[in-house]
Amino acid sequence: MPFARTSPRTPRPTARARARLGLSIALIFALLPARAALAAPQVEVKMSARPEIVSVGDQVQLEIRVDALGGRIDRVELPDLGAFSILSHRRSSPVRFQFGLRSAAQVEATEIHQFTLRAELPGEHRLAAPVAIVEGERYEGTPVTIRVEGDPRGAPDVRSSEPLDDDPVSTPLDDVFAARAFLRATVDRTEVYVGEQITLEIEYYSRLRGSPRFSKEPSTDGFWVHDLLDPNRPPPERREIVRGVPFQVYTVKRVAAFPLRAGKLDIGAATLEIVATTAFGFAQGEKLVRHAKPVTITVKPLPNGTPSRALVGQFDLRANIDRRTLRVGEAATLEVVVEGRGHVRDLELGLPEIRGLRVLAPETETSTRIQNGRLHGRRVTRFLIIAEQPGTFRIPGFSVPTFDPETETSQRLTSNAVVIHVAGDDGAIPDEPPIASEPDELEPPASDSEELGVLRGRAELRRRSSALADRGTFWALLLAPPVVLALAFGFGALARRRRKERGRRERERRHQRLLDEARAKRREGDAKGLYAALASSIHAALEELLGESTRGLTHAEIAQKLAAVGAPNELVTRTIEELEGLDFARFAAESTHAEEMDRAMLRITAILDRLDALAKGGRA
Amino acid sequence: MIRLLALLPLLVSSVAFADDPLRAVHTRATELAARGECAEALVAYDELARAGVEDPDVAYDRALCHAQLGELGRAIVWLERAMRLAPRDPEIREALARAEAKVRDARESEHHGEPLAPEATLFGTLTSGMPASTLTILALVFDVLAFAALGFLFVTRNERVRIGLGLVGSFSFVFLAAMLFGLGERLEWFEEGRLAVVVAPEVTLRAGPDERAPGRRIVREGDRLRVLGRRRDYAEVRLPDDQRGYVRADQIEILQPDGSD
Repeated sequence: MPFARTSPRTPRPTARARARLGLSIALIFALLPARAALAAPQVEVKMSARPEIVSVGDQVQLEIRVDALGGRIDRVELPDLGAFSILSHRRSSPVRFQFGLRSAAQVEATEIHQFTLRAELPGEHRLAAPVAIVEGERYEGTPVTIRVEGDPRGAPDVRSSEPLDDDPVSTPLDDVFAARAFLRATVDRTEVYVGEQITLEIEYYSRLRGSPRFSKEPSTDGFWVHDLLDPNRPPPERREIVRGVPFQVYTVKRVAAFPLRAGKLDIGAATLEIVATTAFGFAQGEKLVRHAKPVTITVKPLPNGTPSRALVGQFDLRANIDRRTLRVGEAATLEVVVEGRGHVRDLELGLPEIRGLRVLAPETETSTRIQNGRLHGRRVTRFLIIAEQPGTFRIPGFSVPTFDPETETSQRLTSNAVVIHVAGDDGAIPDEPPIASEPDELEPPASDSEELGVLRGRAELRRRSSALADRGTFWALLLAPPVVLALAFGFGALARRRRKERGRRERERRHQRLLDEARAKRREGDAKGLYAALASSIHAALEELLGESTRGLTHAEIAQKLAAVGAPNELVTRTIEELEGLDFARFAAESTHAEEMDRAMLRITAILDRLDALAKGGRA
Repeated sequence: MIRLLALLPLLVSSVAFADDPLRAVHTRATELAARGECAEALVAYDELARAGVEDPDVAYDRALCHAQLGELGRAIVWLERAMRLAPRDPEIREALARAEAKVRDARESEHHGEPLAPEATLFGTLTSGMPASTLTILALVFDVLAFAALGFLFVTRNERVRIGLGLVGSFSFVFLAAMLFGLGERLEWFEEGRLAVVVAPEVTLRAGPDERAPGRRIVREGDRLRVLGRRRDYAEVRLPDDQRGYVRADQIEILQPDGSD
């Protein structure tokens, strides 16, 4: 220390040293106020809002930050946020210490207020500068102005603490209310024109912690829909008291829907599944399912006289060409822009053939944006026009029919005609009247239906009838002929068989009768009668077997036929021998002998049995 | 306006039948469609359909209305229905071809592939010009002829007559088979499920009947597929390339409602 230098030999300071010491002390005291001034806290108060231009119902992130170096923040006076609903407010006040190399530790205090606000009232809202009190001193930040644009639905979205049961476009509360969570579908109107926007909002009222997810999206058949919520941002939320119960309300779906046809169209029920979680985000194992009621929209057709292809909304039409003078072979681009509030759909514009100009197929570009909750469409059609011969050409203006549902008026937007001058190779433009194309105004080309065909209007109004081929009668009729044929064959075969059987029985009876007759002759001792009856029995058996009379046949022929039906040779031989024997016996005296008659009876009975067996299909 | 004037005689004649409520509804539908108010005309056409009207001319006009509204998928459905009712109508055939060409053009401009469609079969093509009712009657006639010839063949002994009967019987059996196959194609006897057309611009084919089920591919307006069954709001479908999945039932329309020709 330069001012405390001493010598052991001189324990008492000299006068000069004393003077130096005094000067140093005086200097220290003189510098004390300055040091005190250096130790005063450095305070910075900042306020920012993001975004600064919003629509009613949109959210704003507001941050107020106070940084105080070397001082303690006593309090922060926040501005009045009356034009906004406070959806959430988070306050944090981290404290940091700074250590210098030779200086004492310094405290850096910060207080941050983060608000999520919901814009409620349209207008310019100036948020007063926030004030921080640090170490008793007052520090002021800068004010912020937030511009809130009008409610997209035309009226300020003032949420009462009770849901509007009378609201005709919301699902009645009784239908959906549940103590822990429920879904409510709302449309901004239930009666619209074809092509007019309705805004569908599905709100999830919750008193639960949990992660909701749609298990069924609302069906929107008959509508063209466009999502109005930014998927990259958290859903808008607010707090609302329903029947005395506070709910956190999240807008889980907000879409612009454009009806495509008239009539009653339904927006189907949506289903949300909620898995309840603990405060730390762990699933509790409880799953709730909530349904939003379907909503019916009455869609009116466009008024008479308005073409069905008219754009519905408020639109502008303009046409520009990038070059009005060009040379043969050069090209110009004609750009036709239709834009405005509403859905531009698939508006198709075309250019007619213009002699001297070649028009390439147009390029189209469609874009949409959301403004105040309303869809705004823009469709750009670009025609590349190539000059093929010199002259002055007039391209007629375009005409697009529109219908404004707010004023319920139809009109026809038209763009100016465009004149192009084409110079020849020599640079001269022929001094001729412009070559104009027909028609004078270009309308969108014919619709798909006109390209497909012409309306008929006539009809017999035939009623639905199930196809004959799908009915049981068809199959019954189809199966009838084969069944009839099969039955006919079956009955025929049966009849033949019965006839055959009857014949066989008759023959058997005859056969039996002849045998009985033979036995009677035997008892009477009439040898001639016996042998004649036995011969008749054999012939009867042969007739049964061969199916024909054998009376007129020679024995050789009988033998041949017997062999042909499969009779064994031995049976054939025996039969023929017996027939010959019987013929002989009728005229021989010894044949009248009783024993001989008995033997003949036995032999012939045995042959008859074998012939019968053969006739019945068995073995002889 | 010219269209309206051209249709005026028809409209006036239709008024004569105004006592018939259905005729009045049809007249209203035609007036609306002629004025280009197709959205409302469709409401009237719906009324006719609910009353059981299944008429090729009504189906054709309705298809034009759908086309007017840019609903080409539905236009194809109604043109197909009209063609099934009147297969020899050249206007309907031509309109269907144009609608399909427009769908193809639209897909081409967006660099999507050709529309999915089942391959035409031989008998389906051969009998495409005949309505199902005609095929049914012809099948019955050939059935009777074939079996009658067979029956007489067994009982007759005259050789010339037998040859004639043999020829008649053989041809009748061949035609009977052709009619039955054609009818089977038309009434979808041989295929699993019912033919349907995608009517929404883009439909996700999902692995299950749930919005959260993973998507397998996108099918587009005009694609044809077969509906195998229904589960909740979803239809189980099979694409012509045999891929299966689920689509939302309101995004497709079955060509031939149950029991209709």
